[in-house]
Amino acid sequence: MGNYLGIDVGSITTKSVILGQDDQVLAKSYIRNSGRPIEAIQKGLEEVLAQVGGSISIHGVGTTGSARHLAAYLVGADLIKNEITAHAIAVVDFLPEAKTIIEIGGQDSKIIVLRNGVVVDFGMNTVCAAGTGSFLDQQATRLGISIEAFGDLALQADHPVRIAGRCTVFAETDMIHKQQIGHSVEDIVAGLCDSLVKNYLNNVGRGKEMLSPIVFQGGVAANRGIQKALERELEVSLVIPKHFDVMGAIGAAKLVKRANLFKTQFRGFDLTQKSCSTRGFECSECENQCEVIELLMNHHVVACWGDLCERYRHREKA
Amino acid sequence: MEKRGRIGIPRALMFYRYFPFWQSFFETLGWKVVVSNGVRQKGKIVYFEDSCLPMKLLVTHAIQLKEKVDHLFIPRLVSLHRNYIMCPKFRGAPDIVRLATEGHVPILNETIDLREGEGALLQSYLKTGKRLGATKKETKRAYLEAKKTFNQFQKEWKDRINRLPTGRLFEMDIPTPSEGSKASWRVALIGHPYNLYDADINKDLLTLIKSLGMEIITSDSLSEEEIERGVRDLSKEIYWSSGREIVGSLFNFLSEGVDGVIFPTSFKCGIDALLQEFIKRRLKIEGGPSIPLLILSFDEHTGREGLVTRLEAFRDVMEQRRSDGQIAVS
Repeated sequence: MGNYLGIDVGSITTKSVILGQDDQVLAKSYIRNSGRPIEAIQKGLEEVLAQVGGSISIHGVGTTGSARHLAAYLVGADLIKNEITAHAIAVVDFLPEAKTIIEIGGQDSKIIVLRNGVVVDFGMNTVCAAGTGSFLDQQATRLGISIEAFGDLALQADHPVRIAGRCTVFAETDMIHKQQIGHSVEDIVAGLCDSLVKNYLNNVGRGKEMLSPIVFQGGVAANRGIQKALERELEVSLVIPKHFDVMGAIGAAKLVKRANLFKTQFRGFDLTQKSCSTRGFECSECENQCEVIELLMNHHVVACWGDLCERYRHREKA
Repeated sequence: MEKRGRIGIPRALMFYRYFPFWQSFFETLGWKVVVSNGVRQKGKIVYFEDSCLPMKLLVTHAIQLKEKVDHLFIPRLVSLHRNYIMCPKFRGAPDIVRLATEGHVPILNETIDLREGEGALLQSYLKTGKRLGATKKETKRAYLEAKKTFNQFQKEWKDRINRLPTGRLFEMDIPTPSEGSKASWRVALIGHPYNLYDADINKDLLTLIKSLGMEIITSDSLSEEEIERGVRDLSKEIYWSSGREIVGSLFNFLSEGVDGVIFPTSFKCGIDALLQEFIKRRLKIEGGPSIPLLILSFDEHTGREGLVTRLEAFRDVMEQRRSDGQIAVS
């Protein structure tokens, strides 16, 4: 019963959804953080609120993504969940027989292995962001094309070029070289898609059993060039959910719904009208030298985190 | 007793296994043992070449100590187990440190090579004792005392790792707490000891694991036979002693009694790279891991968020296995 809000704050974008009575998506927003996650969360709330006509009662809030803790403190979340579990939950309800999830986001790429609707294994990219959306983004900018046009351009290639895929720095050097030889933009873009896919399969997917049905989601799932390249490599067609770009947020909302809350901690949509900021300091009380962060709302400290010993976060409750 | 002088031991590499032995040995001989502090959050890591992070940390720690001690103790570890050998960087460690400290301080660097038999260990320490001016009898007594201390320490290890803060694990004057809260999960931690216990390398993985309700067990709690059983059927002997221990304990843990296995690795480590690949292939042949396995790769990142995400997801996987698909939402 009731409506639930899910927020997924990743490294590049912030996703917000409102799920209704029957888990249908009433509103969704997908915006770039541009390095300002707090503003992005506020803007996301504004957008979903506008989509439901400016007023709605929310019965619970779940946050996920790499900035899930920040988002939780800001909006007053009832549940904070890692993005692996959040993505898996959203997929299991959408396609119960799914066996593999490929999720490629801005800086993270993941593989989640499901069996009988349960996560049995997962993997994430390790020390570098090769094979993720932000790499495509940079190269699109370099080529002077929009990221939205990127995928369709790749589909028009006649002879995709081969581009070194091990490392984005190598790939970039290689790509510049291909441009200078005189290959068409379409062929280069298609080559980039191939190299990103090979990188993903060799790093994130290595050693994982990728059984069909395979669900492909995350911001990069919008890119048809990548989709086709993945399908070619895996020799199977991929399932792309309708709300592929906000699946993490949907998962967070579903999880909070399952928690059967008595009362939500949500601070309310008027949060978007408040001035919110954070400030950090280094604690010198012990050898941990924690970087402590305080969240200010209309110039009052409303939350505090980062302290391993929790001395500051308990201070505010006292 | 009047102290004879100060022996510096860098808090790096095999410190994270043998420190109790080393400390007891030198103290029994009448020397004061000084340990480096580490880099913590803001300290600088010294670069001397494109090495693995643990080796960079050895140099960083040694430089920290060079003005404060009369000798640095960096044994040349060649082999710690029959025909298995250590990574060549351990063999070169005293030389690397000598270059980095520019000859500021003498280095006690006697070779330890147990391919010649267990007796080689005492022989190595006898040489160290001799360099410090101790008689054979005094050194032998210190060696036996050190062995006793080390055995006792290993017995208490399981309680120490689960109940003491990471920075205190190897502080021998801190007694082992006997009681603690009950954990929901039993998780095995495998890998090179410094990757497991050095918070500068793994962003204090231990505290994080414990805060998620997991009890830690390590290969220290396995017998020699149990580790041997894990590697006995391999078509080819593993060359490295750490590799033998990691693979041997992994297959033991996978076959019984734990809810999950975590394997922290060093990004630049050749042995870890081979082992990961080997483990994945071996598990694939056997139809996948019977319990959740999480491999973590560490380098010089300072952020902890990626680590938290992986561990929380790992906990969720264990949870779903136990409760038939349900995920805790509280």
